[in-house]
Amino acid sequence: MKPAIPQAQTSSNKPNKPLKNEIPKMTAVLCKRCNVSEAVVKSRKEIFCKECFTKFITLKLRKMLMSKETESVFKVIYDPKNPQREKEFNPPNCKVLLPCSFGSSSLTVLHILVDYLKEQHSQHKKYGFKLEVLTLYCDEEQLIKYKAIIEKLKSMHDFQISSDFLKFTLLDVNRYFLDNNNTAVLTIGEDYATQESVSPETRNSMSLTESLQNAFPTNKLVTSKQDLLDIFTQNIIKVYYNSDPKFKQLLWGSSMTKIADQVISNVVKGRGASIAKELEFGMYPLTDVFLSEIDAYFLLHFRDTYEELLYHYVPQPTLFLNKDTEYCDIPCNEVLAKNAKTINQFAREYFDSIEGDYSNVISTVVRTALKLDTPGDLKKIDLEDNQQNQDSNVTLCRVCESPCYQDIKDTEKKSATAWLNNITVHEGYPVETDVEKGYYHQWQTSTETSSANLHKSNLDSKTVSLCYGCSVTLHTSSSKSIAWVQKKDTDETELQSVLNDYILSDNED
Amino acid sequence: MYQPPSDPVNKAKHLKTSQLCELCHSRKAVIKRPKNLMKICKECFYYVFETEIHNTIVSNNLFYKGERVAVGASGGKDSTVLAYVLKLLNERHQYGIEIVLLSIDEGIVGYRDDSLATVKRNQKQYELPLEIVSYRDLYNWTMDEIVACAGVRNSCTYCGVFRRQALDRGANKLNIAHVVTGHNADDMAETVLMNILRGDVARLEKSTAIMTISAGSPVKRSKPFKYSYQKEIVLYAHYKKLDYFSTECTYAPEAFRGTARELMKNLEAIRPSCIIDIIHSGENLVLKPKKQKKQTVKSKNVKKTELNTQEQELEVRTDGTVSLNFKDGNRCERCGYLSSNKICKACTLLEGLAANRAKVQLDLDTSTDGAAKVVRDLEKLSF
Repeated sequence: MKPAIPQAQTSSNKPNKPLKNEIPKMTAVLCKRCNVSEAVVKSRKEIFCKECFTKFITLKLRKMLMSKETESVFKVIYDPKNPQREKEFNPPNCKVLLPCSFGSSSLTVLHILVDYLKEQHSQHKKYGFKLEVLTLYCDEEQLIKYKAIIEKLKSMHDFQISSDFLKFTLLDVNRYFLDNNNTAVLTIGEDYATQESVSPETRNSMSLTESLQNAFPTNKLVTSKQDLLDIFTQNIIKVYYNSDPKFKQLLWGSSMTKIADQVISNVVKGRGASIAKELEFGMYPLTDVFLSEIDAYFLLHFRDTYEELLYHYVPQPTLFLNKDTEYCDIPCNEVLAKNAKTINQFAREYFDSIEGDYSNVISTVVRTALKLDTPGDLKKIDLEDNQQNQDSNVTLCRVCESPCYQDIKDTEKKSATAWLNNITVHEGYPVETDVEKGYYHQWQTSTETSSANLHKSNLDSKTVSLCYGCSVTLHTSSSKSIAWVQKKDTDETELQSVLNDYILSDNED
Repeated sequence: MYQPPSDPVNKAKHLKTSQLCELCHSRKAVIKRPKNLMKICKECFYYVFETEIHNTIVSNNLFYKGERVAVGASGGKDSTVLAYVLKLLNERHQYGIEIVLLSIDEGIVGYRDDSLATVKRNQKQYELPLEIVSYRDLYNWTMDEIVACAGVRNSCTYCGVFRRQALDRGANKLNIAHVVTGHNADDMAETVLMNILRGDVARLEKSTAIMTISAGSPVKRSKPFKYSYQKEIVLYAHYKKLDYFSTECTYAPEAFRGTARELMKNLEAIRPSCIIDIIHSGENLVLKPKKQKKQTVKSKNVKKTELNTQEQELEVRTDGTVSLNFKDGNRCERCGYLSSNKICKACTLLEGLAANRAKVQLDLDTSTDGAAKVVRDLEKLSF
C-alpha cells in the first residue's frame, strides 16, 4: 500500500506541467509593431511591447523638443560660421528648467531627458544643455521626503549622469512668503472692491500656509485654497526662471489630461482670458500623451521602486493587458468626498466617466485651448515690461499678476468689480413698516462695534485691481481678506541674492 | 367681561439678529440665494431679481422705445417668468415696448397641447396678445409624424432646427424684429462648457452673446435672463405663484448636453458662483487670428477679377479640398430664410423626410393618436 501512494502523486504532477506551459503560449499576444516580443500595453487601439511603447512615448516627447523654435536649446550646436550661437546654445550658457512635483509625469519627462543627455554624450562626447530640476516644498516633512526621493534617484542607474549637468534644487515656499518684507492685507468688500492695507502688525508674521488657513479655515473651500497656492507656486517658478538668463527653456511636465483639467478648471473659475497666456509660458512636451500612458510608461520602468519615487501619487495600471495578475497590488486612487475635491479633480473624474463614450474629448479640449488667444485689450500689457501705462485701463492683477482691467469708476464695465455689481445687486428692498424699522435698529446696534473696527483698518488702505477669478476666490473666504506678498521692483542681483537664501542645493549636502 | 385667550399659533415672535435678511436687515430671511448663498427675505429677493434683469437690459441696450418684442413662450418656467418680468419692468421703468407672446406648436399630442393651454391662460392673466405657429402649417409635418418616420434618437435635431426657423417665421408674420427667449445662466454656462468639450471652435466666441443679429434675417434675438440662475427663476415663479407647465418633453433623450450639465452641478456644490464664472470665461474666450492660406490653385486662363472673386469665396486647403467661407447674411435658395449653406438645414431635413414618407396612409389621422399619447395611455395602465 505505501509504495502505491507516491506513485499516484508523481503521476498526478506530470500531466499538469505541460498544460501550464502551454497556456501562456496559446494566450500570449505579440506586439503589433515589432511582432517579436510579448505585448503588455494597449493604448489608442494598438498593443505594444515594453520596448515599442517606450519608443512610442519617447519619440512623442522628442518630437516636441525638436521643433523649429526649440531645437537650438536641446541639440548639440555646431555652427562654425556663427561662433556666438555656438557659445550661446551650449553649456554652460544653455540651461533647461524642469519644475518637478515627483508625480509620474514630471519624472517621466526627467527620465526621457536624462536618457537623451546620455545619448548625446555617447555620440558627441558633449551635452547639449544643462538640466535643473526645481521642487517647491511647504514644510519639513515634505523636505525630508523630497530629499529621500532625490537620493534614490541619484542611486539609480537610469539617472546616473555627471552632476554638473543634472542639478536638483529645493525651494521653500513658506520662507519665501514669510521673509518678503512687503506682505499686505487684501480685503474685498461686498461690492467686490478690493482694498490693500500695509499694517506693521502683519509684517513678517505669517507664512503662506498660515495665511491660507486664516482665510479659508473650513475644509469646505479646498478648491479656493488650492487655487491661491497654485497661483503662488506658478509665480515663484516664473520668477526663478526669469532670474537667470542662462535658462533657455522651461518644461512643464503636464500630460494632455492634466492640461485639459487645467483648461476646464480655468473656465469654471472665470479665468478664461488667461488660458492662452498660461499655455504660452514655457513648453508642454507631453501635450500629446495621456496620463494613463505616462502611468504605464512609469510602471514599465520603475515597477519595483515607484513607491519610493512618487510623492502623494499612485500610478494606475489601466492600460496593461495583465493588470489583474501582475499589478493587483497597486491600490486604486481613493475616492474623496464631494466637499474635499477641487475643480481639477471634478474635471478629471468627468473625463474618466466619459472615456468610453466620447474618447477624444480630452484631446479636443487641449486642441481647442491651443487655438485660444488673450483678449485684445489685455494683450497690450507685456509681462516683462513693468511699465504700467496710466492712460490705459489695463493693469496686472494684484494676486496672480495676470492682465486684468483696472478698477476705475469711469471706465466701461469691463473690470471684475463693475461686471459683478451689474448682475449681483447688494441693495435690499427699502424699510417700510415700524416693525421692520425696529429690527433694522436692532441690527444696527449689534454691528456698531464691528463697523468701528472696519474704520480703523481702512485708514491707510488703497484700491487695487484683481482679476475676476481672484475676486471671486477671495470673496468666498470667511474673513474676506488674505495676507499676500507685494510685488516690488528689485534688481536682478538683489532678487538672485534673495532667492539664494531659500535655495537648498544638493551641493550643500 | 369675557376675554378670549391669546392665540399661541399666531403670536408674533421676536426675531433674532441672525435670522434677519442680510440685505435689508429688517425682515425675516426665508430664502438662501443660490447666486451667492446670502439669506434674504422675500421682498428683497423680488427686488434684486428684477433689478438684476433690469441692469442687464439697460447695460446691453436690448430695447428701444416703441419696439415690438415677441416673447418665445412655451409654457415652461423660463418663458412664463420672462413674460411676467418683462411686463412688470416695462411698466415700472417705461421701456415703451409692446410685448407679444409667440408660441410654437410642435404637434406632440399629450405634451404640447397641455403647455399651450398654459400659454393661453398666461395670455389672459398678463393681458398680452398671443400668436401660435404650428409645424403642421409651416412644414406639413408634426413631431409625432417625424418621430414615427425618423425615430426618437434624432428627434431633437429636427425639432431644434424647425423651431429656430419657426420663431423667425412667426416673428416675420407679426412684423416683429425682436424675439426674446428665456435662456438663463445655466443654459449659457452649459453651452460654453459643451463648446469647449466638443471643440466647436466656430461657436466659442459668440456662444455668450446676449443679442444675436444677422444681416440675412430681420429678426434679432436676445436673452435678458443671461445672468439669472435657473434656481432663482424657479424660486421666483414659486413665490409669485405663477402658472407654468413643468413636464419635460416626451421625446427628449439623454444627449451630450446632459453630461456637461452633470459636471456643472457637481462643480456648483463646491463653488456656488461657478455658473456665472463660466459665463465670464465664455465672454473672454478669443480665438487666434486665422492665418491666410496661400492660393495654391494655378489658373492661367482666368481673369483677375474672377480670380479675386474666387479668392474671397473659396478656401483651398493643402489636401485639395475646397470649403466655402462663412458669409453672414446668406439665404436659402428654396425658402429664402437665413442659412449658412445654399440650402438651409430645415429644407434639407424636409427633403429627407419627404423621401421616407409612406405612400399609403394606414390611419385616418396620425396626429390624433401620436406616440406621446400612446406613452401616456401605457403609463396609466396597471398590471
